[in-house]
Amino acid sequence: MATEAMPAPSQRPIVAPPLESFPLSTEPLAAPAPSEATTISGSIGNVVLDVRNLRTYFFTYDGVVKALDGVTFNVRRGETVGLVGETGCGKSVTAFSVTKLIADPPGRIMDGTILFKGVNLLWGLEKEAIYRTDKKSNRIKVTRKYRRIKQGQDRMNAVRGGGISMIFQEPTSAMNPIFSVSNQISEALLLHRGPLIVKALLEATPNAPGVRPAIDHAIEVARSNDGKQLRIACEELGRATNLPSVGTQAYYILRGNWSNPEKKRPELLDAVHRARLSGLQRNFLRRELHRLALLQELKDVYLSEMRHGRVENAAHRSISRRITGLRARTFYFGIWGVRGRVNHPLVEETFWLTVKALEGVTIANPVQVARGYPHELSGGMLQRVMIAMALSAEPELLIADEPTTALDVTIQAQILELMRELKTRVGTAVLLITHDLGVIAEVADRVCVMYAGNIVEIGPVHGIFKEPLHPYTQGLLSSIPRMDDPTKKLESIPGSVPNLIYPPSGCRFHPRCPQAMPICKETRPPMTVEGGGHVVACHLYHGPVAKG
Amino acid sequence: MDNGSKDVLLSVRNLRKHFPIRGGIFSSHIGDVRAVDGISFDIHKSETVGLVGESGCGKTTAGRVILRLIEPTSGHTYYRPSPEVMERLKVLYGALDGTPADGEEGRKPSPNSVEALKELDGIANKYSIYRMSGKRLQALRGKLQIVFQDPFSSLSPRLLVRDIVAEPLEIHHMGTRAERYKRVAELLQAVGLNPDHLWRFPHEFSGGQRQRIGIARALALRPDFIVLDEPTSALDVSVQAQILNILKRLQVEQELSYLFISHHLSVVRAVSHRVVVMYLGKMAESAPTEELFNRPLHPYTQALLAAIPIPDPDHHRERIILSGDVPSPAAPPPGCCFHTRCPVVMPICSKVDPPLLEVRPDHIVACHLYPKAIGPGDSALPMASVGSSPLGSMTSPGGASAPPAS
Repeated sequence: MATEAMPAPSQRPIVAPPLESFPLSTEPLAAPAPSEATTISGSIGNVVLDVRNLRTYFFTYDGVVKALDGVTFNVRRGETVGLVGETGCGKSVTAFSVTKLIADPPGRIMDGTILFKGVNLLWGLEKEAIYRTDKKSNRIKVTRKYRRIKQGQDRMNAVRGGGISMIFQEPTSAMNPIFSVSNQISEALLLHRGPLIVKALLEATPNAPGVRPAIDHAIEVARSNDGKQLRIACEELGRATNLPSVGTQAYYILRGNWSNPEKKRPELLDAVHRARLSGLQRNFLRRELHRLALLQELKDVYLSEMRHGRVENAAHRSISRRITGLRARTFYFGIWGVRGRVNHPLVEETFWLTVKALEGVTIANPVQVARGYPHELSGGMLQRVMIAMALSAEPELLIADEPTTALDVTIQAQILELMRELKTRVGTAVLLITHDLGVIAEVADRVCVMYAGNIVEIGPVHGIFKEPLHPYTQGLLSSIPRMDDPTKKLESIPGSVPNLIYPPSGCRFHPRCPQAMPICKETRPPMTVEGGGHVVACHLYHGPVAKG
Repeated sequence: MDNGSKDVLLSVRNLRKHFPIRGGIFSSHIGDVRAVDGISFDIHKSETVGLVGESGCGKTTAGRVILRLIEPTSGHTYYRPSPEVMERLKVLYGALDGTPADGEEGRKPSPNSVEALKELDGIANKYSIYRMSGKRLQALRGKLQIVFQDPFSSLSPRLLVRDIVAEPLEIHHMGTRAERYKRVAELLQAVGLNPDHLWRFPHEFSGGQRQRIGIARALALRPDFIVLDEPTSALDVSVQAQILNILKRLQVEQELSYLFISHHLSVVRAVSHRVVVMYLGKMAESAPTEELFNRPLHPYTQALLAAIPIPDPDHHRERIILSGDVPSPAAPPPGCCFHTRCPVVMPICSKVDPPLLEVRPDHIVACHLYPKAIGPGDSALPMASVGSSPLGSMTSPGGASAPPAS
């Protein structure tokens, strides 16, 4: 019982304990030494995300919650890593720390490194706030430097989306209820692939000689009521106009009108016509392209700052000056009242790109879904919209925080199938957070088992399920009711997850561990490599175990 | 469970609950949400019946209607019918054969069934919990209890644990105050809590402990029957195992019957003796647990079973991925309500609602694939073409061809 360990509220200090009591890198039980860390990481070149010795604390009135206490793991390219554990063991905090979405206050990343492709995401973190102990009252005084915090956020935005993107646990609360689905996905698309989209629009050739015959051909094919052929014909039309979204549009105009597709010709011509830009529109798009390119340059500056650890103020200043100048020059469009129409092609284009993205996550009626609002969709549908949004930026790492917990089994099967397919097709690395070991067994390549803010075992999925080493992993596995072996008696782990304000000494699992030894109470077990990429933090293991 | 009909505790017959949809200018009745649409099953003494289905299929409503926490639209739940009554019920419902109970919904019963309806009415007056009132109903309330899904909202935050558990005893005027508190301490011990937890408030407990308090409260009046409405879905796996073990132990000790409502099939398999699968308010399939899991007949059950992730990386199986979502129960599709998602849909499915048929001993299915009973030696199942082996590796060796368990 967590509450038993706690003193009565009146005795409890209202403030956080003095600074010395929470470790800042000089802690004796600090996570593995660098040499060990590299062995855990494996070959560095292949690693997308490398988290070392991450500590995230929450400063509450009851005391400091040590939510993460030295978490070390990595994710390799194109690999799915599962993060499992009970509620309140720090899985989601890990995900939020990696994307630096921890609400500060009360949370704070205290120590550690997060390397994303060599970019140190936590660079400059220690400058964002200064912690001082007030001598008189023994309280901690925090001075936040808001300029530094703003800079940190700007830097992080260069990584979010295109680098790391995230699927949140509750799709209903992660979407904005007042914007349509297409509006929200378009935002992500423009932020992360803006220059490409604008360039494609500027380079479209709606007047090309091949367009008319392509339209005729598409209408001809539409008569045959063959979806696949129609798709191919429409893609050809897209190629003729040099704008793939025209093809998508044509497909949805012609689909289901096999009896009289000729009727739809004006609509088709309209769609093609929209790709013809007026002078003002062209002007607007060129400026937009210029602006987006400048933003991209700024992003690169931020990334190089985080990679090399030095501030490039001059480059930063020159780019922001150019952006300000550009904004000043485009101002008059607003006064003339023509600006409302000049961005129309861009809106249209992103809408159809959204439809394409929704198609990619197997939504049957993407046009209606894209026009709709989040409240009109079911949970499974919204989860797929979220996945489409997360993938629209083509991230290198996708963090999926309990993507199927809120869903029914049949919908869960659909989503898992989709994620597995995307992994092979797009090749994104996935950090999958879940408490469902069945889901892990289905999709993950490697598994990290977490307990009370520590990683207790890391290993390939086979090793974890067939030969679990840590007593906690063994307990977790034996407490699942098995479909394939219903006669097995359910074992349970006695007790519950400890309160992380007053975590148990030594190994945090020892109060619940069936194999606890005296040493477990005193010292924290180091991570031991057991061969085959299997790493475990438990005093039962010292060096490689004999197999057999 | 080889119980026969002699110790049936509850017999649910043609139970319906339609929630009216009001709209228009005068808030007129413009439609019905058919949350529960004609379910029938028996619950025997010290038996666990699992009620399975996706969210929104009416599982929870069914549980509450059976306890009369919600009044049903039609249908009956008979409490402790004697064996003779059970026999009579079987005959009478057989005679009605398709006409809805109580002759509702405008269909004119044939003269033959008028007699049957009259007799049913008599039986219902005697045994149906929806016809009881006053003291009889109050006494019955103590015998039928419920454990709610969410342990965080089902306990009053202002009461001590002692008062929460003692409340049912007070309402039913059981014993003196000292006796009541003694019983509360016993109950807490039975669910694995300490006596010093008596003086705490619910917020001081973790989810698993709160669920134990909920179970203790349900046990206070020595009930015969408890509805467990997703008792473990808010809990972690390790705690879930603790709760399931407690429930199993209590069932043996106190001869309890459970209606275990869950969407988690592997949990249902671990605890129940008999499973009822619901889809959109209707029963799709009902069979003893081993029979259902080894030989699922309805395509929906097969898809549900295939969708469960198995915690074993070596386990590879053919998946049946159902496309789309559950249709709205306010406008269920015509014919078989599963035909919009069914992988083996036939033309008849969108027109005729399949009746519930006992196609194998004790195995009831509502599907057009099974128009008649399948003999024990009949190995060529209609589903063989679609792959009756999504669960191939799950079935026990020779399970598919073995004669049915009697």
